[in-house]
Amino acid sequence: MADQWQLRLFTSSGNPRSRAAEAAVREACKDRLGEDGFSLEVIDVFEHPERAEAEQVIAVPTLDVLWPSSGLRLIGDLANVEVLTQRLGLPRGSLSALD
Amino acid sequence: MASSEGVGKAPTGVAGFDRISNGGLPRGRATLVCGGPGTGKTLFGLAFLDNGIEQGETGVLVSVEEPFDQLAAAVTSVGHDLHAHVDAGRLAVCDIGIDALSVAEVGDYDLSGLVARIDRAIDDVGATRVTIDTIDVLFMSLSNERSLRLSMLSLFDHLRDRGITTVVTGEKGTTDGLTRHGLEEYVSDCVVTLENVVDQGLATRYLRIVKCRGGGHETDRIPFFIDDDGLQVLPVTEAALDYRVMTDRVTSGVEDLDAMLNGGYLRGSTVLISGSAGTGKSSLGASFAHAAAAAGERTLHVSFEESPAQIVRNMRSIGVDLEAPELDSRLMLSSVRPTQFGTETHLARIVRGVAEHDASTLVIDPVTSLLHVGRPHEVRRLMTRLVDELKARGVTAVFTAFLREAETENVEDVAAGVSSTVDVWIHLRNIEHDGERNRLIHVLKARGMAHSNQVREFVLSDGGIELMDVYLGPAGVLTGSARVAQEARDERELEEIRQRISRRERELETLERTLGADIERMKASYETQRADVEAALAEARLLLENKAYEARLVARSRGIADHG
Repeated sequence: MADQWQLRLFTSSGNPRSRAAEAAVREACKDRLGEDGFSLEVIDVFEHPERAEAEQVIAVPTLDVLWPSSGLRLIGDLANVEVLTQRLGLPRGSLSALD
Repeated sequence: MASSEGVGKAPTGVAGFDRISNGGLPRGRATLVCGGPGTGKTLFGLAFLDNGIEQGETGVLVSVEEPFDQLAAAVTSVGHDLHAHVDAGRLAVCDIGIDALSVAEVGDYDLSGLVARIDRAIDDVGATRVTIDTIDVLFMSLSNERSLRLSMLSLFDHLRDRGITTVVTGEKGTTDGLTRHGLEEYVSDCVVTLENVVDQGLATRYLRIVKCRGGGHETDRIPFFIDDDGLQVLPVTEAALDYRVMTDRVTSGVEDLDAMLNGGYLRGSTVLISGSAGTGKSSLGASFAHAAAAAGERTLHVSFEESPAQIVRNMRSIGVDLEAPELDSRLMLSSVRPTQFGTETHLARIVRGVAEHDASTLVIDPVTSLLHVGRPHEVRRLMTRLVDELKARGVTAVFTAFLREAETENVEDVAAGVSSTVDVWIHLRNIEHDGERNRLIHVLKARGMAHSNQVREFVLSDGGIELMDVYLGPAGVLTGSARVAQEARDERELEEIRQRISRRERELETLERTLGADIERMKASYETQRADVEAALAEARLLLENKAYEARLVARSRGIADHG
């Protein structure tokens, strides 16, 4: 989809925050953008250190927004959905609430 | 690869450091190198990698502060070619461009990304050494201190588990603690601090090993310097205690001085020649350099005042040819401006010059160019280190020391800092008399050797240096033409005295002869008179006897008549 949000999340296998972060991102995006409104690539830094190197990743979890804005990077467990939503600049209002 | 000094040390290859650290950094552990900006901590970390790679190890550079290309360019000038190691697959680089991205922190995190990247780089080249420069930058760029601290702990645990010898550089703390972010909490196996102290306008770098697993390291603050050959530490050697004591002599270049020193300088000894301007100390130093080279010694002459050409010219005027072909390039003349470097750098360059020329003989003219810049105790330390280093190498050294004319009166005070470290101390002095300036030489000290403590006159002529006996008379020490004149006066006086003596001797002879004649005459007269007196005496006695006889006769005849 041409107007799909493009997101990339760096995780690591040994880090329990990684799963929580992935879940939080998926939940927030689904809520605001819809199931098809975003794509999320999840990369394990230990499996693909070359990606971590190429993208200058230090911390895990690291969430990059590639589209519509680019260069926005969040690090942390992203546990606070409110803050996450705000930081990402996701549209206001839940899609599920509009139904 | 264990160092010869002890098991479990990874040599840094930083000149002098491996000696003071008893072999290098703890192998398989992390070392924190901390210091303020510009103290050389990055260079230390890079030298550790480069030298390790040169010795057959492999390394990873994690550059947090500056892009690798920038770092590599900066250290090319001090002899580290990092690009070559990268090309050869012996060095992998992790450029951590922390500032390149706008990062928002949302909750807790760890630094697995960094760990994964370092791991990858380690695996790329099979690295045994890692340098992380400067890890503090992470603390400056990120704000979740709790996450950072936990991550640091696991990063260093991870590197230790992998058996990597790591150098981590850190910014010096502004208040308490060694580093601004308390890195010493995570890197506790070995901590080295670097500082740059500016005193009297001159900067001196110091290195200190605060702690080091395995112990056996120097704990003092040790000066170091950075020059074309990179970072070099110049410790006071422990070897100070077991110098080879040598008993053979090296000529001082002046036959008469050799005689005063009972044969010359002892090989491996350190000689101080002090004196004010124009006393001939440079000539004495250069004569020594010439004589040593002529005798087959590889000799380094370092001048802080004159160019090699000037020195050659000056010495030629007193008949000493420093460029004589028979010296066969054993004599190396070098000139340095005193202001060109800081004291430490000068010192280390000299030591390196000695090593490079493989010199057994060194002249520094004047050493005071190095010393006037520091505080007395620093000067003592400096001299002690230099002398120790030279002794450890068995180098015979002559230092000239410039003293102002006013200082020459209490020369023992002025040069005290230096003199305690030297074996022989020769003092040269100008004295003025009758509008003429002459030079005196005096051996103030000669450790472990018989020597003359006479004051002699020191004469520079076109035939070289000669020592003359001085005239010590009621008017004090006389030299030069005053001495010559005095000697002539003395000679005349002596002649007069000799003549006076022979005159008196003749008088005495005459007297004796006269006395003898008088005695003979008086004896003769005595004999005559005595004979006369004796005759008279006998006559008188006879007369007396006759008188008595007559009296008795008269008395008898009268007695007969009375009784008859």
